[in-house]
Amino acid sequence: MSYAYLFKYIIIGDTGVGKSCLLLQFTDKRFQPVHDLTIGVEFGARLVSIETKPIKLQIWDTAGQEAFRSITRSYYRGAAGALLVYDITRRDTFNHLTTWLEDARQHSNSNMVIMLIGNKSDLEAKREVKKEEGEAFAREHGLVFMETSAKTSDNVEEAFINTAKEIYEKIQEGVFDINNEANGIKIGPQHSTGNSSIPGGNNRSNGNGCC
Amino acid sequence: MEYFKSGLKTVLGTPDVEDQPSGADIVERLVDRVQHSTLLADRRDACRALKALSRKYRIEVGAKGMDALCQVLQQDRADAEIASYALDTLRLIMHNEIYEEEEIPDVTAKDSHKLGERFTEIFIKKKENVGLVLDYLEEFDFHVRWPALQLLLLLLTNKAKDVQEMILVSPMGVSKLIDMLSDSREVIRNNVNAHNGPNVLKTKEKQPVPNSTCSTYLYDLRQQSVINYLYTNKLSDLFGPTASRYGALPNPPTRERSWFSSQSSVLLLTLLTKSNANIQKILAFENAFDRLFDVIQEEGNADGGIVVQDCLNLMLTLLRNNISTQNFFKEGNFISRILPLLQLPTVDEWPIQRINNVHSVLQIIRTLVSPTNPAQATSSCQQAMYTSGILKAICDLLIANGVPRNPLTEAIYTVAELIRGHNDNQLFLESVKSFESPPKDILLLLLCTMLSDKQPFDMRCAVLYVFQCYLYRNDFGKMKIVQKLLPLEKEVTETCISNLLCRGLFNKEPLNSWFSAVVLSHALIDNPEGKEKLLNVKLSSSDNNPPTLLQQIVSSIQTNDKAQFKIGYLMFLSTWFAHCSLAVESFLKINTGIPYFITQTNRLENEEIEEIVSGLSTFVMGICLSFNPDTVENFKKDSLRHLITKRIGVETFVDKLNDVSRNESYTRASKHPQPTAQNSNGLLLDYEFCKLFKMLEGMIMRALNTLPGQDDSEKLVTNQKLIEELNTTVDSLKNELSEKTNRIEELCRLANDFRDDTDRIKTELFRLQENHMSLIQAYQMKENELESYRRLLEMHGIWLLQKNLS
Repeated sequence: MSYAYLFKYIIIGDTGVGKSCLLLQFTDKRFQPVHDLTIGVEFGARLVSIETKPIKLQIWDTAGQEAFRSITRSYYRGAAGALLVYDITRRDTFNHLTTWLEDARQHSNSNMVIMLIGNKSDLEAKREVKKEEGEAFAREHGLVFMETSAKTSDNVEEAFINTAKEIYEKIQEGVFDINNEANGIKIGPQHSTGNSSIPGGNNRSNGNGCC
Repeated sequence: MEYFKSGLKTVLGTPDVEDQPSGADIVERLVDRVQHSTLLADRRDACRALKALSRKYRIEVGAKGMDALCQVLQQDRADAEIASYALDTLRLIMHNEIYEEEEIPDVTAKDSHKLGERFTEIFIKKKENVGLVLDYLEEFDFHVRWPALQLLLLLLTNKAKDVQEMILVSPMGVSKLIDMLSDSREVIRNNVNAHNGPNVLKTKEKQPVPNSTCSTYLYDLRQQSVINYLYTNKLSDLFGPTASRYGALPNPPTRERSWFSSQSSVLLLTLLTKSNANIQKILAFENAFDRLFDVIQEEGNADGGIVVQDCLNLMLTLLRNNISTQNFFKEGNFISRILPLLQLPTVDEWPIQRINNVHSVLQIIRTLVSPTNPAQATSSCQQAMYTSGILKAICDLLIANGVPRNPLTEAIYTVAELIRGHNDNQLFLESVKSFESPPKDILLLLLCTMLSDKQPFDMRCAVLYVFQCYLYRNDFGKMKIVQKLLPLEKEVTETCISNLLCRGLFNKEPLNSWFSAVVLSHALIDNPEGKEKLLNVKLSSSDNNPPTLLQQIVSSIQTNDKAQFKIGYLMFLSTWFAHCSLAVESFLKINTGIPYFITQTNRLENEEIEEIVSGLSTFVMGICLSFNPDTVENFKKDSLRHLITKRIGVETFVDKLNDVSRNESYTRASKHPQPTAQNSNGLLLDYEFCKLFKMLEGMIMRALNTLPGQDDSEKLVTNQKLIEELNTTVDSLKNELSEKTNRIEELCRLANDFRDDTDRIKTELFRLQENHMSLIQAYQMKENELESYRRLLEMHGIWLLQKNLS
């Protein structure tokens, strides 16, 4: 149960693109074919390992509907990573990406890692957005891109883990201030003592049996 | 200024000395000035005047000035002073108490205490108004931010739900509030160093509200505490991380946390989060649990002051009825952080604050494992409570000395919910032993508490709940209780749970008997084997012909007058007989049984409690009808139905049953597994029994309403017989089949053997044939050779022969 770091993620994007399904596939390894509308925000967690370090991903899955937008915005600024999801079979969800991205950039901290995800790659026959278009959009806005299928679990692991890798690299480079929890990163309980020498050590979880 | 005023007088006209203008007129004039003066100074003066009048002429100011004040908020943001007057005035007119000097028109006198709420309603009707106040929270100037915060608190107090929603939908509303609190560090630094911050403010505030009434006191406290808060930086502690975005201080200021300060944080946040799942989630996301646990730990866990209790209560607010935050709490391993709060005190002392703190902790635990949560969530939390040692810690609390009654009772309830339906935890509780020597089982100790009329009623109820939860979905535990009662067991001298329960069943105190009956019936739920075995239980072995448990109950029920006794017995019998024809048969064989129940049903009772008794008697008879084995002469299904129709009447029978489900104690009991009652007389029905009643009610009606011959269950019996016959045939056929299969298998094996043999022989033969062939070939070759020799010889021989001849 212990972890070296905890990363906070949010999943954003239009309603019905499969945000909750991605989360469910990642945490429970199952797929739910019926669209169950997310109300506000739901939560999931899983432990992964990056370069042999155990990392806990705390994922906040937001509602895509416009009505919940003001609620979900409150989650932007405390997140270290975001999965911005569109549906490759619905062009409009791709067209809305700019709005989502603006919103996210405006309310989040500048270092947040954003991963662009084209979901439902299993529905090749109904495809409306080409893979190249997704790649181009990602390149233009400096995002990492991937096509996934929450149904077949294709690339789902990779999407979450690659985002974590990116954040981890940023930590190694010193871009993230890991002692500021507003960045959506928390040091695991057993590691905090080792890091206490870091300046500005507003270190809260000082090894006190959180796990 | 004098010149200016005279100028005003010429514009507005000098007030007539004889004809004093009414309050309404003055207010109207002021409002007009606020709205229409072009000079900021004029508007500011008018606003100040309105503020001064807002206590005395609250209605006028509120009714006429609301829009003008909102307009000020919108347009005069740049001027801190006028904004602060406007915010203050708004707060004063929405205040909940009636002011001493307030002039109340007769028409509105009777609901003048609701004025504050009314005005709040009007104010928030325009959604942008709340947004405006939120915007003012971003103002750096303390004289603006402070009244804005006060106003917001008041809005939340008056119209919590609506204002919460508005804060939530206004862009970054909650985040703004959180920022505001973190941002206050700078205010702190600037003012704490000056050492006069709070005082200056207090004198400025000039609160005329007396501290006498409780609510004003609380309001006062809130104001005080928020002041303290902003000055001592404590809430920013709670939301520390965001602070650094605003150029945080290298060293946080003084670490001591005043009594008021944390009180305020919790009051503010509790107001903000109360029963709003979305705000609760945002707080969880903003690391609220982490912060709260840090504060609790710093304050000394359970030994901490009221701050700890407030933090715990806020945590409870965040968790209650919110599966998402509960899930988050569990996933984030916060459960293990509860453990230090449950440590027993080093000195055996329980000051009131400690009691309150522990009580709140137990409430949090119970929220996480509540039986009303989804089963999956509850069981994973139960598991986590076990692995993190919390179950053990609470059990230690139960067996420790000197724990006061309040947290002890709550701890017993908590243990109950921690083990409910969770086999590992049930086994753990079984294994806990007391510290005394020789150590006793905790279950036994608890049972003694339940069966002692010297113990407080609520504690006895709590223990009953433990036993109900211990037996819930615990087949092993259920059998254990039944097994210990059986005569096969050797004469046991030591007291065991089963013996105590059996004795309790026939105790003189009705509550004792009721408790025992409920526990025993829980041991029989979904336990067909136990139900049959229990029929063999005999009471005392000294008698030559001791009565069976069933006989004893049936005779006790007839001799006891107290309704609680009877209800306990009747519930026990119903549970026992349901789905157990063997038990029904044994009961029907007792001559006095059915006749007594018929008289019970026929008693005309006015009292509610007696209604339950006769209703339950009806129910037991109904069960005897539904699960009738048709083996007891006189009480076969048809004759029993006939008896009921003739002696009671179908209508009355149904009415009696309905009396039970219509009874208030039935509704109360079926709400929640935990037994609830004000006093010992109120404890009548049990949760699990109500479930059984609901389930069997329809079945009994059907059994009663079917005519003889048309009987569904009769058909069922014949069908069952048919099925049984068919089953035996099938069984024999199956046997035959398996024999045959075996035989075939054997033959197959044999055939295989033969085939193998043949194969072997064949190859042998083939080999031999080949051999033979090669031999023949060799032979042929030799023959040829020989032939050639012979020819050679012959040639010579012939030659020789010819030579000899010649």
